[in-house]
Amino acid sequence: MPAAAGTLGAASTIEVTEIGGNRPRFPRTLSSADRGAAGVSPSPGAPSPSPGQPDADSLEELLARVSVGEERAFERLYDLVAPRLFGMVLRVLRDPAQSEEVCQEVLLEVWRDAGRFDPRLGSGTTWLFTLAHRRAVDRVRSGAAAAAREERAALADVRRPHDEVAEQVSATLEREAVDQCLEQLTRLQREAVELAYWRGFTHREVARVLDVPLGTVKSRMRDGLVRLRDCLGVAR
Amino acid sequence: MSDEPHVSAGAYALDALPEEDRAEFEEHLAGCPVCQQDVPQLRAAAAGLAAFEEVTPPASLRSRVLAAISRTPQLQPTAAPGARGRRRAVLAARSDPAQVAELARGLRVWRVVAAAATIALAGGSIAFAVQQRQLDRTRARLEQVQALLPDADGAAHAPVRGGGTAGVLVSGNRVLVTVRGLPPLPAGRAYQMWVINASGPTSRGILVLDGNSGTADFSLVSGATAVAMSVEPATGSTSPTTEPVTVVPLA
Repeated sequence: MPAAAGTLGAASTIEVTEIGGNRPRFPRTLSSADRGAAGVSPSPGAPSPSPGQPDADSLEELLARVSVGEERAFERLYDLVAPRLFGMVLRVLRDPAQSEEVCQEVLLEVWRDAGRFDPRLGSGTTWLFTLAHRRAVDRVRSGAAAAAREERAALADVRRPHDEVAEQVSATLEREAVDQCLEQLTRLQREAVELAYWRGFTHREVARVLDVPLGTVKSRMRDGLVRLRDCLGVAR
Repeated sequence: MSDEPHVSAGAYALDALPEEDRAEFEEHLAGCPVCQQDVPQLRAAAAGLAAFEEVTPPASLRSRVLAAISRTPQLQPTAAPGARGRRRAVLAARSDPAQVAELARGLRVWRVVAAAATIALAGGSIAFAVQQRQLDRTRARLEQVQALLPDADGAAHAPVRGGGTAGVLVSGNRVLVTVRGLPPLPAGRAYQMWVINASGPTSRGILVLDGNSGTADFSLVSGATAVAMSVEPATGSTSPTTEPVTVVPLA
């Protein structure tokens, strides 16, 4: 028998780490006209981390616990990501009911596949939002939100002066950081990126909307994301 | 696609490539180390755009989702071989050494092990190759062997204290260990393998986990009497610092 110099005691202290965008933030209520989403009221039911209080668990830790079936960890994960997830999907789909459906699909996928998340390849936030964005865009392209994809409107939308695009109930550090970083992109890079990300346009559709060659669109998308990456200080 | 497949990396990261182009780019990606490095970073930058938009969904979404997960099975983890996720521990309190010894006495793995070595599987004998590519196949074969062995001969598995099982197969001087269903460990800890002889435990390295399963293949020392596993710092220990979570005696 191996010599026992120590004991297996109780679980050691949880490391408190923040990775990526998991700081608590002020939840925002649904803003009005530019969502066109009457009837969806903010929910007082879901608890959110209070401002100034560090997250007890990082998303990566929660995913690890979810992967072995811990439902409580999944509840915490939900509370941590749901507002941002719903906000992103809603902005892409523009339809609250469909946005809820897509969020549910995404979260079920997270539950099912949490074991596939490899922390060496990137942050939990990136993994989750990559899944989410793909699903949102697939839904858009399946015609479910065809009306919202009218091209002229889309172009007008991304060309709107930036501070008009969304109301803020309160500024957050992270929102300001992304705002400032987007200003590092050229107007053309930013349009290409935003038409793709927020409107779910394919690169050919973006080329048509912007009236430039496909190769140019691809370069702008790539260069725009590279600038965003460098500005945000994204390691992976 | 153009002559410059790399330039599609941005469109790919933005989900702006339709089905056909996406498949084509993914084929390119499989063989392009530059893109393999770039794409995760570009995806992270794209995910950063989502930082803006935070809208609290209705409470009904939360209850629907939580209800749904209780009916939803989870897939076996298939993170890249060698991935070591950070895990929380749900380990039970330390067992009495006597309990572990009792466990060991109860195991008749060595008999099973001797029998297993003579079983010829369809397709040839079991290979103990250590290449990562072959681990899954090796594990599948071990499971086949274990499935063939009747319970009366003794378990081909040893329980792991805290959760999970370890299966052991010995052939000559080599050992193949398969573990399944391991409890998560605290950050900075890992499972370490040992071979035991009269001189004590000799390290056989950190068990590489693939989710909560793992496979280890290593050689014995002369006069080896058992194979054991303990929880150690993730960087490994020169000798065990904790009680073993599993001990498998050998013939």
